[in-house]
Parts: sequence; structure tokens; C-alpha cells
Amino acid sequence: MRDAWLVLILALGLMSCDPGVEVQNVLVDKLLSVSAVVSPRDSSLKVYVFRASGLSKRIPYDMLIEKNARVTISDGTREALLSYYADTERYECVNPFHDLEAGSSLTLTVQTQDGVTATGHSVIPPKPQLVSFTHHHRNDFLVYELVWNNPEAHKYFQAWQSMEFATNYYPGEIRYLKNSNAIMVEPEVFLWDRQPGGINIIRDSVQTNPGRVGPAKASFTLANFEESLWKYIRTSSQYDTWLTNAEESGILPVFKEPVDVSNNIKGGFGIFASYNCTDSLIVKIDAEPVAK
Amino acid sequence: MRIFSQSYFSFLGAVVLLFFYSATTAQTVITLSGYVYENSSGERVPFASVTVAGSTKGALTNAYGFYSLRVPGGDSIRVVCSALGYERFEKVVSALADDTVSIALVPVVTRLKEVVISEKVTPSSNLIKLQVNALKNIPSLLGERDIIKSLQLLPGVSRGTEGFAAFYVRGGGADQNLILLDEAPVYNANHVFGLFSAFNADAIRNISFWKDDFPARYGGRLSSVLDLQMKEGSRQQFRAEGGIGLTSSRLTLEGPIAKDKASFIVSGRRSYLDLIMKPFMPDNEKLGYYFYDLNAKLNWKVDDKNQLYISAYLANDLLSERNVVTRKSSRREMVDKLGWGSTTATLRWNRQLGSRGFVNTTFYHTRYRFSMLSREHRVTDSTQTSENLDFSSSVWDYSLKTDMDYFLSRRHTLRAGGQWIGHGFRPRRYSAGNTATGFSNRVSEFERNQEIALYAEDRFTLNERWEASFGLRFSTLLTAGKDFFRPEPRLSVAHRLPGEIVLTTAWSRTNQFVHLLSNTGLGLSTDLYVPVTAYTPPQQADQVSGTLKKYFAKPGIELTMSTYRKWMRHITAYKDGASFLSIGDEPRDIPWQENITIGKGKSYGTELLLRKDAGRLTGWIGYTLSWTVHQFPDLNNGKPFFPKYDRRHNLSLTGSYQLSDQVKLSANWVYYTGNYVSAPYAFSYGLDRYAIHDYRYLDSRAYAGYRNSFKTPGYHRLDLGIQFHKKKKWGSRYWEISFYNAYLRENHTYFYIRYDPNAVGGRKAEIKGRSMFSIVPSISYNFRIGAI
Repeated sequence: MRDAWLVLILALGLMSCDPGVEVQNVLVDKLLSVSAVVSPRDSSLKVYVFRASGLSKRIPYDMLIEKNARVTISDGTREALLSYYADTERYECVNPFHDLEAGSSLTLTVQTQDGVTATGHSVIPPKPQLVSFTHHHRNDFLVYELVWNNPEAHKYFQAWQSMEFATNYYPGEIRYLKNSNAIMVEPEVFLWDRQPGGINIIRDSVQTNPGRVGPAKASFTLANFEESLWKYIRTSSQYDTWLTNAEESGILPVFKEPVDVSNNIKGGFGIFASYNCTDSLIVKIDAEPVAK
Repeated sequence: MRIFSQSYFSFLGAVVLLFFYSATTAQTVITLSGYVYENSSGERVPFASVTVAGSTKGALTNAYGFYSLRVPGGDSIRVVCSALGYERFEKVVSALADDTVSIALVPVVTRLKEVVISEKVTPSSNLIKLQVNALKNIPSLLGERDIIKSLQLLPGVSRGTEGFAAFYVRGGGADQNLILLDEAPVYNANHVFGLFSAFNADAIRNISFWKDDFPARYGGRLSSVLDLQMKEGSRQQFRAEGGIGLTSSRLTLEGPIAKDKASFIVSGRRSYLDLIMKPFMPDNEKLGYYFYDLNAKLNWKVDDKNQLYISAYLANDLLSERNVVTRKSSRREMVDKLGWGSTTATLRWNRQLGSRGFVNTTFYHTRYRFSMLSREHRVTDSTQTSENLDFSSSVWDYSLKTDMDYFLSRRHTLRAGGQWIGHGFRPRRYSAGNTATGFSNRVSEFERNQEIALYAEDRFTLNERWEASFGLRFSTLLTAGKDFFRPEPRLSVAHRLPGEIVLTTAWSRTNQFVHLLSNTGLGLSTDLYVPVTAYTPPQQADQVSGTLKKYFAKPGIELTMSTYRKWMRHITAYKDGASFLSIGDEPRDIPWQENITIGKGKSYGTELLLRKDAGRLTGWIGYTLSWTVHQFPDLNNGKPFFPKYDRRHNLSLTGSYQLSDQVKLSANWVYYTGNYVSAPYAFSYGLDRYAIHDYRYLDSRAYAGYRNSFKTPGYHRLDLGIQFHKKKKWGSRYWEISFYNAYLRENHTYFYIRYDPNAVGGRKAEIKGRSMFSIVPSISYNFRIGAI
């Protein structure tokens, strides 16, 4: 048995040479939360910067706002310096990057007076192609078809930046796509995962609302997202759903681990990403629903 | 392309040389062969020791109870056979020529008596054999006897989330365990979303478990092999066994079809939550959940050399809801169903080849299917419309395999065989339709590949001190896009030291030709199996291990110490923020290959196991010290991290004490250090999910930092049980009362951040843990009709 114990001690000794993982977490008082989403169409650039708080501490919201940081956004040749505005509680400046082409890079840098630096990187996605819209009425439904084309070279994440039907239709739930199915985060936010190239088709319907009368029209704006933005929105939604269930003892979190909200800020957490969208497609609906 | 490395040829050469060396030096001996079986039922006894009196040299029966023993010729010898749970067997036989000796073992009726066996073969492999009857004594959640949860009490085997049946062996994933039921792999062995395993212990005869030192006949998974054999059914008399518990009841029937020739066994279990709820539900609303499993087996002894087995297994779970809303001029019916289930069917043919050979040929089919269904039917005075959404995911195999055991000499036991498997995958199939709008959509993915494996192994006894096992398995996967050829060497060397100590070192390489995409890591039924492709190559592992076993003089007591190091390659995980399907989500058209990342992992540790399998007190103490590290280029900025189920220390004490013939006490206590999860350590504010619609809307943002850097509190739990046995004219019965988590420890199932918006002096965020199981008492009534 003495040999046996020697073997065991040797094994333990060999293993202790390898601790496995060295966890590297930023200290809470050096942690910044930075969030900014930009589009070439924006008239201004807007960045939120907050300090972080540890758990189990009571800290007012306004004490976490970082008001004295140096915030810049650069495309490599030009640099925009953003200033803090107390009324909006964020850093802003006029957008000097209207002319940026798809594929251009932007870098966000936040530096605080106590030496904390957080950076984010974004690549502007291409503008999606215009959507075509056709429709007809069937029973109590307005049946429509939306078609757009994604170039093979650009497999981007997409969402409806806006999708509105006139007030005489109930909002519908979009489910059926040729290439992809939508995730309805909220009634007004539809997200699609990475799109394959080629033609995308939505065929769906909205139910007419005979009790309401309004202009017979619909409008659509389609946006291409950076992957990081898509994941941020998607995981934020998943986390909120999970948290609601967790706090209310719902059954779902019993079977799911918490969702980590996707981040892309180095030296802190949050999001710096861009999107690019079409001009609004406003469509006149050319026939009234069939009256019963 | 270089397929074989030089080391493989060297290895093969060494095997061939050793084989010829020992074959030419063999003495003139006779061969005793036959089957070891239980006298009361006729069921064959695997892994029994058969030897000659006064010697510890001998043989172990194979998985079908067959042995072949080469002994020096002489006038007569005394054959001794022993197996745990049976009386010692002795018989004097003539040793003048080769002979067939059938051995009938008598079960030990009471554990109060300790059977002392001095002549026995000490196994040199790292096989862990568990007695089903011993597992039945372990107190369990809601009294549901659970083979897989019992495994979680062994060192080197880790549980996942509190209460769930998924198990993780030496840092491997829940999908890396090969679970075989009568030779057929079972892809998902869970009931109730994983709270119970889907095996009915009453139908299981033999449990064999490997964490390393894998024999070459097993392949297809990286981390462990759990080989379950169903009972054959008594060939002597009819028996019935069953139990009535709080959540389910079970019944097993077995008996002869033709005495000593053919027998059957049928074993079923069903939960009855749905039946209990039914009277309390309104007429227009039905919500129900049930699970059932069914095992059935027929065996037919064609003649002394041939035996046929047909076995089948069916397990299903179904959660369903039906609502009907009736109004004056309309009716609306909504049906939702969520179900999953496994099916296996096996046909086997055992053939004895002379006195030294044994061949088993198997054809099997296995299938796992998960499905969701949602239907809505609306009828008004003027219209009738319906809307439906169906989703399913399935994986299935057809396989033909043959395995041969050949007891070549006293020094060599050869095993060789081959297997063909046709894998089918339907990761996603869904259809949707709406008759009101005329829309319909149908998506179906289907992939198929073929796996071909050939193997050979030789267990070679050099002398009384040294034994070695050389094995080589060639596995090939043929896919539409790319073929994979993977040699898998297996090697173990055992050295017997004085004092009944066996030191074994082993190296094995394993490959896995299937991936599991898991949203939760819990091994849930919603996890999806996907095939190996050019983008997702086969998972591969190398493991080296050293094991020291001490067999004590007192029977049934052994101490095992193991240390191991394992390297895993091409393991898969979802990229951050990606998921495939989770409960509450609609199915989506996501190319799954684009949402996963391929990485590597390593694990290492040391394990201790002290077992006592005989006497009034039985049980074990297990301890594990281990580390597991994963690294993926697309996760955690490419830096290594501890996966969720990495635990540093794992201690379990499991015991059963037979107070008298009528009363049996049992308890188990487990302690695990906390595992590593991603949980927030800071919070702040930032844009919420409406960022592109309303830039002013901010929300609380939690930050978890380095992946899985939050260590959960330690876990410990005590379970207690007591059984009251009584013999009856018709057989026997016992009541069992058990308490899961007897001292009400709050072990957390998951963690979340809770915000207190009304806190004075500013918002407060706290990390909270939620416990699923407080003390869970249960009572069950169990019976057996007919003799043991």
C-alpha cells in the first residue's frame, strides 16, 4: 500500500503544476458600460457611457453616468470628438461620416480621467436592396408578399427598421420566409438571422379591422445589421425573457441557463455597432377588404 | 496522403510478435468450456470467475456468460466458480479431454451471510461493474430508481444541474457517453426533461461502465461506455415484479415460453400525473404530462451452441395542452404538444464455435425523436379555417455487427469484429400552414452517412505478474462531402503486485462521429444531434490513465485509485449569442454550421473509490479531484475557460445496511465544490433591445465578464431511505420510505440577477440563486411474485 500512496501523491503533485485557467476580470471600479449604434443616415452620433457598480450596492442612476470622459469616433482619417450633454445624459456630435461606404470601419474610444479606456470597433454593413410589395385580399385578411434580393457576397443580419400597416389592419405575425424565419422580439421588431444570398420572400397576412378606418397604405424599411448588433438585440431580448421568468418563478428558466448578453467593447462592456437601411417603402393598398 | 504513421506499424508488429511467441510456447492442455447461469431463472451470468481449486488462474465469463478455460490435463480437477451475489460453486470434473461444463449458480438469498471465496480471478481491466440490486437500495428523487443518477455517485462522474440525469465523465460532454442497451445505442435517455433517466431498473440485468481502458470493441463516443444488458426472463418459472410510487408505477412479467428452451420478459413503467390531474381540469381545457417506457425481450435456445435474442425498448414523454373556446357562433380549438422518445430494437445470435470460440452477431435499429406541434382550428357560421405548426428533429441508426471471442490459449484471449452503421439525421423538419390565407411552408433537412469499423484486440498474459491488452479499431465515416478515416489504438498493461494489488496503465484514442448542439448544457430533450461534416470534423480524444486496485482479504472490498489526463479535439459549442432551438422559440432556418465553433479541451484528475459489495454493510466512498478546461477561438476572446460542469472536488458516500431480514437502511451523502458559470458580477446601464427604434430607451445591463468566472456555492445533500421487507406466500414485498435532501439544503439550480428598483438610496442589484428541490419525501410499495 505504501507504493499506492506514493503513486497518488505523485499524481497529485503533477496535476498541481497545471492550475487550468487564470481568470482575468476587470475590477468593477475600472469597468465602463458603453453603448452606441450608428447608421450613415444619422444626423448625429450619440454615445452613452456609464460606470459600473458591484452587486449588492445601492447606487443612484445619475452617479453611474460618466460625464467627464473623452469620447471619440474615428474612421481612420477623420476623428469626431463627442461632448457630454446633461439634458440627454449622453455624448453627442454632428455625424461627419455620412459619406462612408459599406465596409468602412469606425473605432470608438472612451478614455476617463482616471485612466480607464474602453474601445469598440464597427464595420458599416451594405445598404440592403429595395423591397417590392404585392398584395391581395382573401377573406378577412390582407395577404401580401415582400421580396428583396441579398447579394451572394453579403450575408448580413437583417431586421425591419420599421414595418407599419395602416390602422385598419391588425398587426400580423411574420413567420414564413423562403430563406429564413423571423424572430418576433416585439410586435414592431423583427429580426432575421444571417441571410443567405439570393431572393428572400415573405408571404404573410394581416387581419383587417373593420372597426377602424384609416389610410390604406403600408410602409417598410429594411436594415442590414452587423452581427454584433444582431446578437446584442437578440441576447438582450433572451435575457429579459429569462429574467422575467426567473423573477416570477416561471417554468422556462428551470430548463435554461442564464443568457449572456453579447458584448463587443474591449476594456468594458456594451455595444458599438452599425446598421444600414433602405429608404422607406410606402405602398398604397389598392383595394379595400371585401365587405361581408 | 499518409494514412498510417510509423508508430502504428511498430505497434502492429509488436502485437504479431508477441502472439507468435506465446502460441509456440503453449503447453498441452485441455479446454473446459460452457456457460455460467443462474439456477433459478436460467439467465446467464456475465463476468463470473471460473478457476481451478487452489489456483487463482482462470477465466472470466464474457457478456453472455460463456467461458473457456485451458487447464493442464490430469485425472480430475475441481472447478470453482464465483460471482458477486451468488453462492460459491464447486464441481469435480474429469480432466482427461476437452469437456463442456455448465455451471449453475445459486443467488445469495440474504446479505447477512458473507460468502468467502479464496479462488477467484482478479480482473485486471478498469471495468466498473454495478449490481442492479445494490442500486435499488440507493435513495432517489421521488423514489424513482435511477441507474444513471446512481452513476453520478461514482468518482470521475459528475452531475450537471441539480436533479437532472445528464452525466459528465472526466470532463467530457453529456453527448460523449456511449449508452448501450442490448448493444443498441440510446441517444437520449431522459424522462421529464431529464429529471429521471429512461431506464427501468427492473428490466436491467447487468451494468458495465468504462471511463478509460476502453476495449476496442467499443467506439463512437469519447468519454465513457455504459453497457446495459436487459434481463433475459426466467426459463424456469413465471415471476412478476413491480412497484407503485408517487409519480409512476412499474410492472415486470417474465417466464418460460418453453421450459429451458425459451423465455420472455416484459417490463413497463408509466407516470400518472395526467391521470391524477384529469378530474380537476375543466371540460374545455386539458393539460397533461406523462411518460412511459417499455422493455421486452424474447430468447430462444436453439441448441447447445446457438441462442437467439430479440429485444425492444420504447420510451416516450408527452406534454400536451388542449383548449376549446365555444361561443354562440364560433368554436376555436387549440392543441399544443411537446414530445420526445427513444426506440431500440435488437436481434442477436450467439453461436459457440467449438470449445474456445464464441460469436455474437447483432442487428439493431435505434431512433430518437423530438417533436413540437401546435394546431388551431376555427369554425364560424360561415368559415372553417385552421393553422398549424409542426416541428421535429430526429436521429436514427441501423447497424449490423459481429463480435468474436476466441480463447486461443492460456495466454491469449482474442476478440475481433466489425460493424456497419447507417446514420440518419433529420436535425429539423417543420411545416406550417394557414388555410385562411392559403400559406404553407415546409422545410426538411436530411443527412445520411455511414460508419464502418473493424477491430481486433488481444488480452495477453505474459506471466503471473504481467498482462497486457492490445487493441486497434479502424473507424471510417463516409459522408457526402468528405470521408474520415480514424485509427484508434487501445493499449493497457497490468502489473500484479504482491498483496492483491493490480497496477494498470492505459492509453486509448476515441473518435465520435456525431455532435450534440445544446442550448443549455443540461442534456435536455431539446438538444439536437447533428452529423459530422467537412466543417464539423469528428471529435477525438486521447486519454492516458493509471489505476491502482487493491483487493482486500475481506471479500467484496476493494480500493481503486486512478489518475488520468485527457485531451479532446474538435469539440463543438454554440458561438456567443447563437442558439438553435430553445423552448419558447419558433423554429428558424439557421444554417447550424455557421453558428457553432470548433475547439479543444483537456481534463485531468485523480479519483479514489473504496467499495464494499458484500456483507450487511455495502456501498462505496468516492472522491474526485479534477480540472477541465475548454478553449474555442470564438468564445471568451479565444482564452481558455472552465466549462460549466467543471468541479474541483467531488465526494460521495453511499451505503446500505441490512439491519435484519426485514429492515434495510440506506443513505447517501454527496458534496461537490461549486461549479463555474457565467453570472453577473457588475451592473450598469446601456441601450436596450429597441436601440434602432428609440435611442433614448436605456435599461439595466448586467456583466458577467470572463466566461464562467463565477463559482457557485458548494453543493451537499443527504438522502435517507428505509425498506421494510416481508415474505409472503406468493413471494415478497417491501415498503420503501425515502427522503431526498433530508436536511433541506438549499442547493441552487440556477442563478440570476435581481434588481430592487425601490431600494432607498439608489438601485440595488443582487445575485440570487433559486433552489428547485427542498426535502422531497416519497413512499413506494414494491412486490415480487414467485421465488428469487
